[in-house]
Amino acid sequence: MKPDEEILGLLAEATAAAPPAALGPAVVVAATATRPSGRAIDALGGGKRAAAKVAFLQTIDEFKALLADAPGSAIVEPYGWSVTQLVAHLLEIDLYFGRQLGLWAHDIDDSLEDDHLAMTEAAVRGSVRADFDSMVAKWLEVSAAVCAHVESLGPDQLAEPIKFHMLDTRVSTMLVVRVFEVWTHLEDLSRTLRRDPPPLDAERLHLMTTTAVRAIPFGMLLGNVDGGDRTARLVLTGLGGGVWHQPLYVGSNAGEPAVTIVADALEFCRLAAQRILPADLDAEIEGPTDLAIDVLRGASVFAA
Amino acid sequence: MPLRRAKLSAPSPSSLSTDGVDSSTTIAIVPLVNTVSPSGPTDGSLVARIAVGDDRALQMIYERYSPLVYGLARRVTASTAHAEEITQEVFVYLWQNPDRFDAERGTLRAFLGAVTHRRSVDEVRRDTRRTAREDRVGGDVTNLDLLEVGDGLERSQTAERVRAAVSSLPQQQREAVMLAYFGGCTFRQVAERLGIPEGTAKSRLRLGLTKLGALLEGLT
Repeated sequence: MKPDEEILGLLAEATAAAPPAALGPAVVVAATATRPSGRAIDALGGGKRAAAKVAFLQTIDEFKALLADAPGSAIVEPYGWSVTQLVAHLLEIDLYFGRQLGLWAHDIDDSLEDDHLAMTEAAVRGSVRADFDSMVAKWLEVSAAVCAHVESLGPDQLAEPIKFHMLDTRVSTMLVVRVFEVWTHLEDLSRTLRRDPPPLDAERLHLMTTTAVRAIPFGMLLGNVDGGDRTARLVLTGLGGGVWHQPLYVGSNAGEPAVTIVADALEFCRLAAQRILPADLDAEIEGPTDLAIDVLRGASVFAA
Repeated sequence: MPLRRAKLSAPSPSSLSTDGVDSSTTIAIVPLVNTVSPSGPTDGSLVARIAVGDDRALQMIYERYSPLVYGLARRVTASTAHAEEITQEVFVYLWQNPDRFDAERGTLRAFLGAVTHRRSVDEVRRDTRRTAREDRVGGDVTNLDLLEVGDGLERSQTAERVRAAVSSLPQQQREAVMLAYFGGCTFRQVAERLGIPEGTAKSRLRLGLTKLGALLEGLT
């Protein structure tokens, strides 16, 4: 038996009538006057530099809390590292990040600087038999110094340029990219520990989705795909989602979308972090499928 | 962290070029199967898109449901001007409050129908010209002939089946349903119009809706 509201909804079908043609556009104008197109109901003005700082510190804190209960020998996928090796990887990245922020000197193999995983490979390999507690203590010390510095940064300093993995960006953007990285490791570790990861709030997730979408042209370029002068329209639904008209070539301007991709925001972040494949993303495609595949492959740009 | 495990020979973003990318970065193309179905995105998907600010999704929802919203508002208020205002208000409300719709609890048609009906009844009850309105519709909102198709719109199979179901109701129940739903009447007003106790009006309406529910079973 149908509930009353369903019956009454069907009753309304009996009186359906075409509204005046001009009403449709007017309705959209009226609606977007109350909430602009592209702004999610739960987005709190994502992209603010201060929000990037808060998001970074919060994510680090969450990872530290999870690490407190983790056994050092447990295996974390997808790389098959032990938790100790994962911490060794993070230690190496934070030493490098601190160097790029001007906190200290740290030697790296310059030929590996552009490769996030390769540049920590030796440290990860060398930590196979390392003492877990000592490794965690070292990382906590370095991470605390990085976090204290980040916490002290004002708006102007957050806007300053920084080079990271040989890419020129701004400190605030770099912080969001690192949120991506730590959150991904946090999800990996949670899976190992059979726990639910702490939920992402809308603002943090919106920062991540924005950064992931903006990175697509770089990802396509790295994948040897020429985005030309085309534009993709990304509609990421759910918490932290939004709508973006993203040019597919670095530095070009958005035009009429050649393809629209609709997907869940959190799943899109997992795609960006290479934890799922484009084929595994539950996406609706409007437009050429080949181009959509190129865009989604381009979106898989972050390694964590 | 920010780059996939790829070797870049290009020294900086400003000089990134396709020549500078190692061929090992190529990923096998895996066909995607989740393209939009011929019937288009589901209502739930479109409302989720509205929640993140996709005005195209609002347009698609409008195309699907504006005849239902506009037609119901026009039928209840007997005013094209009110119907236009209410139609705009209903879709702006959806744009502002997409989280009020829960696809697991009911259809978008029922949700929009309920919002439209509530807003239309409010309008009718405020309208001091109600007498004139009743004069325009002949004073008999129980007349099934008033369930006419709007201008330029073909009657759908669903509408035909609904109309047939309403026609098949016993007259007393049909009158109660028509007055309460399309007339925007309260139980007391239904009772007064039909010259029956309020409790009887309630039970006739309940019986009518129950029967309609059975007759319309299977309609989506």
